[in-house]
Amino acid sequence: MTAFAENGRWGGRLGSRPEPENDPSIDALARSQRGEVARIWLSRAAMERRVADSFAVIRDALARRGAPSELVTLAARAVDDEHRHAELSRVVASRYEGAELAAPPRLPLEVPEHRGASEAVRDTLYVIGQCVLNETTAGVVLETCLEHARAPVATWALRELLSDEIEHGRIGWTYLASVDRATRRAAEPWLLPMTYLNLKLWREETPLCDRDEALAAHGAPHNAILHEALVDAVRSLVVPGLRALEMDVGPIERWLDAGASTDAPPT
Amino acid sequence: MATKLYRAIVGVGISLGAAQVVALGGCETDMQSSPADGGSPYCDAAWPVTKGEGGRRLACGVTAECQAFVGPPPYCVMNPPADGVCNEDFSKVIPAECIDGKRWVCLAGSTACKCVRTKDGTLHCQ
Repeated sequence: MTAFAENGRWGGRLGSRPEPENDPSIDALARSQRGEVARIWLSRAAMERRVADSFAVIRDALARRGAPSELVTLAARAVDDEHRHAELSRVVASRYEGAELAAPPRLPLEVPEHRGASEAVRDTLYVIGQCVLNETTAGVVLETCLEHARAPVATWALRELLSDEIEHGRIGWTYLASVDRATRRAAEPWLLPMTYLNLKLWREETPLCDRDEALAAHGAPHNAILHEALVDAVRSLVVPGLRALEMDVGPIERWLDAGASTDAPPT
Repeated sequence: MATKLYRAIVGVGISLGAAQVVALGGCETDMQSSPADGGSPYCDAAWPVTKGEGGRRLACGVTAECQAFVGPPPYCVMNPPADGVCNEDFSKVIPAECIDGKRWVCLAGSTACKCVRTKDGTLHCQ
């Protein structure tokens, strides 16, 4: 089990609402279907645990940059949130597996290097990469999964995750809006590469394999649906947000208009 | 959908940030940065995603055939528990490889281990 704080967001509980005790829709699945959903949620548990480590880096970066204390506090709480998400995902996986699954092995975190960036710019790029890009995208992915989810346990879990991811994404937008124009301009040369790499990784982690349509009701729609949502996240949230902050989004828009390929870096 | 989320994440975030003043720890010269000074920025890492499926370990094709034939791949871990009892001291997860579309094999000296809690409360590899 992944430990999260007793004095965390929900006072030691997994979420704001109690986990549904009964879910006949799980019992109605075939053994192989249950195993597949369990595998997906256990993979998510491993990834959520690693993102706790990501937010520890973000918390420290915000502190170094003198960000408002409320933001540093939110980032610190996000570390605990992600531990809780890992446990929540493990619990869901266990419900589908029909056995108490152990927390998956801890995945190593590779922090972006952002070579050529000063420490100040690197810290800002950290926040852009993890919050503005990654967590904002996660919000769209979760909402897309929720649109298709019908099973009580999966729906409960997705709602809990989404409400937190909204706040985690906000951390980035709030920070970016609070810094001066020079800081934002210094980050601009990295925007397209980071957006490209973020979308590339999301696509890689959601492979376009055949998917039993019945699993959509359990929080696992076909990844082709998620791939559409990923591009929509960039076009409908990230780009307008950056533009509102007077950042140059021209290169990202041109890449999107050309099809947002992640087969090779944009030229 | 996107409009609602835009307001919730981006709009609210920007509004909150615009109302605050940050005393940046850096000076102006700290902002003199360029990705051109450090090689291609496209070769960098991205922050790991939270809602994936381990896709880079679970590509389609023959790997999917393996899943269909024998089920999902095992976790392959370094430092496997000697007595079959799981702990969380696994230092690294190694991709499982699908052989002939019929069996999963853990490579590079790793060992398959799917930790399951038994009735006595201990964790064992399955």
